[in-house]
Amino acid sequence: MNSPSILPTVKVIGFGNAGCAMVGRVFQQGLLSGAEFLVLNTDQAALASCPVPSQLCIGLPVTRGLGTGGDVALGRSAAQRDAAVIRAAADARLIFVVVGLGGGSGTGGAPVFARLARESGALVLAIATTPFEFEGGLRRANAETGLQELRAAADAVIVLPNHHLARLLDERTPVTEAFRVVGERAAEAVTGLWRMLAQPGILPVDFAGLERLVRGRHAESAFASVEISGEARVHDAVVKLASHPCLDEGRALARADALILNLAGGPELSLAEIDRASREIGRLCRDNVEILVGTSVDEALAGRLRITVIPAWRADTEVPALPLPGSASSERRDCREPVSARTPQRSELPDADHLQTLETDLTQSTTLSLPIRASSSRRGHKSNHQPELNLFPASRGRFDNTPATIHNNENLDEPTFRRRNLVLN
Amino acid sequence: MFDLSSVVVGLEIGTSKICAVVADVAVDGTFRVLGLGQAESKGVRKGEIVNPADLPELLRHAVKEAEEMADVEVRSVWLGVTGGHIQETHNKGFHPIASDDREITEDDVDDVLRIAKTLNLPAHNHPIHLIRQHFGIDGQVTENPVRMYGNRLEADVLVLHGNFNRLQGAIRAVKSLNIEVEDVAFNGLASQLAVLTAEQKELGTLLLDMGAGTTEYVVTEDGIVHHAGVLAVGGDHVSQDLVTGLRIPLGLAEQLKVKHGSASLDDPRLGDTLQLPSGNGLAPRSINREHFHRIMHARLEETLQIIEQKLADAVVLSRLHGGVVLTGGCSQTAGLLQLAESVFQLPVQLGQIRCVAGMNESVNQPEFATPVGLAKFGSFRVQRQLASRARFNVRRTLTQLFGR
Ligand SMILES: Nc1nc2c(ncn2[C@@H]2O[C@H](COP(=O)(O)OP(=O)(O)OP(=O)(O)O)[C@@H](O)[C@H]2O)c(=O)[nH]1
Ligand SMILES: Nc1ncnc2c1ncn2[C@@H]1O[C@H](COP(=O)(O)OP(=O)(O)O)[C@@H](O)[C@H]1O
Ligand SMILES: [Mg+2]
Ligand SMILES: [Mg+2]
Repeated sequence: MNSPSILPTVKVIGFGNAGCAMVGRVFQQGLLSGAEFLVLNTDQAALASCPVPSQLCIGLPVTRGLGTGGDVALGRSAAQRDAAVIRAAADARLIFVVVGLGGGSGTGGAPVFARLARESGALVLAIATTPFEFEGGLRRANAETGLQELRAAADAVIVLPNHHLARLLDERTPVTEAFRVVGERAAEAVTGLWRMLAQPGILPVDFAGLERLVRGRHAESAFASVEISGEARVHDAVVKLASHPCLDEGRALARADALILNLAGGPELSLAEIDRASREIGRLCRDNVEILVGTSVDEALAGRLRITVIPAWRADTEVPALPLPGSASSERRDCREPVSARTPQRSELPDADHLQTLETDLTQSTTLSLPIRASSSRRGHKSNHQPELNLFPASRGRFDNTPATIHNNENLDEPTFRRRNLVLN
Repeated sequence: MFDLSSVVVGLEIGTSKICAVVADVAVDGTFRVLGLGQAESKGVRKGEIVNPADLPELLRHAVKEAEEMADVEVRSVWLGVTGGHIQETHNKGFHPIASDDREITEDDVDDVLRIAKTLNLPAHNHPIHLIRQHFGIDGQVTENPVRMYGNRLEADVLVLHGNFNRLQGAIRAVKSLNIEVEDVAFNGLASQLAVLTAEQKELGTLLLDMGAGTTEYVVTEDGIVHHAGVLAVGGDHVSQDLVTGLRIPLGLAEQLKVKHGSASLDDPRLGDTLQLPSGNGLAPRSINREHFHRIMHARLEETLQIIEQKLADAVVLSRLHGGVVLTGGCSQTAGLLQLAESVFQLPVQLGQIRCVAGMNESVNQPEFATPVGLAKFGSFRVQRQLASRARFNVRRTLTQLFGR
């Protein structure tokens, strides 16, 4: 359905029970035409019930096809034993590794896969969920280990913490239903990324751009998408993003070293809107952030604007959540290679007539609003050296579930004394 | 035979409280508060309903309390609205005078106002108030153009408008109780009606209603409202800042703020510590009074500064000889008056609720400015109806007497 020239070979890999379930869903939705699918697990029964035809049961001698029962070391060694098979399977330019962190197989195996795939030249983007609180300490500890390994192995990890979802779910939601929703969100992240790369646009986010942005960064990312209609849609969308739970109420933007920004709209999507949106979102980020802007036109979106953002930041540094002018953000420890901000200049944009003629064939137009947030070290926490997995983000208290009050690009819901850097001691 | 007084009810669905005020208005305009009912609000944030689940019960409770005190049955209300979505737009309408002699009629005035009303509004917004600033005839400013002559009539108007769906949300919540909504009014305008004297409106005054979720501002000069708007920041922000800064639960932050809070940084007690109540599993703790004041000061100063900046472009603040008048629950914060004086460089006073004949002092609380003002807003229109009904009745009586 899409011009194949835009995308090189793409593989979507699911690891462990959760990964298989999530990739199975993406496969069944059938939206990623041209992509190849593969699921890996130590659990034969789970593979049998997965709709994806390409399957690899790994570590058979050590797990006897029964899973690892939450043993990460076992999952890791199972994958390592079958390194040769895995290397052979990792023959693509771009690989999405989808995994539910917390168990043994996926948590131990996905980093192994990511490393092998990267070694053979693929750009590896991992999409990982972290456990619900109710799953307990062991799974949480597993997930923390797995995330660190995955971060080191993959080019970028998009973290989707389940506990964000818990806030949006009814207390009486059955567990199976909760996991179904988790899977749906993960599928949306995969599809969203795919769409950004594959959909014809005025400014397509191309693979080379993506690669340049994430290759070797071992970055951690969040993913959020909002869909808005109405007169003030650009403004409303930006306000929504600035307070998006998946973006840690906008802090993920403020913290980002790099940002992928995709705007999709109906044929009415105007250059002025694109320009305005990228400038306004750029203002929520720090000055030297590198922004990769893509736009696409989708008739199914007529009247609506969908903005997808993937802010990425290096996970090995601690940066104050909201960089203020003259604040500590300038004293970052790493010396990153200088990057150039790349927001579209007017002259780079094709003229408006061109917009009308672009064809689109994507029919799906779900509202993506992922309660996702990348793990981050929280402001005010002691350790400057150890990145920590923040599974319990600060609540917005009284302002949970309300749009942020934004004035001059400042979120007024944040305490004033903090924004003014008042020292209380 | 003539029913020459009528009941009007103002209803505010506030962020902290739901409040109904029952009043009556006589044909001569006399306005008396008869009853007031309240309930603690739930599911309202920054002046907007975010979760309507608990509202019917709470609304019913507030209305019932007011009904019992006033001994009347409430069938309809004048409903207050606020929220960050409410905006002001200044419009100019033009209308050519078509009559041969170029005399301007009432119809021409209606036409030009109608044109000015909907210009430039965002697609999903709905006008709430249309406030005439002045008219012009062929470029000459005039107050009342009717029966004057010209080619072209102009009208400068202030339109307050808000998101249609959000306005509907509040109306729906009330209607679900089988209570009619006569009309909606912006909370800021209502408070201004309740609090300002005719003289203050004439001299030029900035009214600030500092509530829990929002701060409304209204600038009145020469008796006309020139600017009005909302900042979605209020007492909840003060409390939430204390939660973060002092690491205490919200309930405690709220209590401390109301009981011991202050926006003052030159307070002799700044070196003191404040003992927190222990119990409920909380260890005894004390907090530094200076931190406490600084957090509150920072938030309240910023809130006032933002409004000052918003207005400074449009209004010469130093010309407001009536100064600044504060109302709303937050206006009770110690030290706020001085803070506002330094931000606006104008004399500042606390508003008193006017025109509460018939009611005891308990209504004269800043929290009640909006609901009293809403009833007052309704009373203006009801009084006009009463007056015309009275004229009609007189005519009917005359025809009855002489017509046969
Ligand atoms: N989306 C989704 N997530 C799941 C599902 N089941 C479990 N999870 C999540 O994924 C994490 C890992 O669980 P599994 O995928 O079952 O574990 P595994 O990788 O197969 O590892 P072992 O079974 O322990 O060898 C859990 O902690 C859950 O948070 C599911 O059906 N769908
Ligand atoms: N003595 C006080 N000092 C400081 N703030 C107060 C005091 N009394 C009430 N408040 C605050 O006033 C707010 C409620 O004011 P109100 O005008 O009733 O708000 P709303 O109309 O938004 O419900 C709350 O935030 C409350 O904490
Ligand atoms: Mg398993
Ligand atoms: Mg109020």
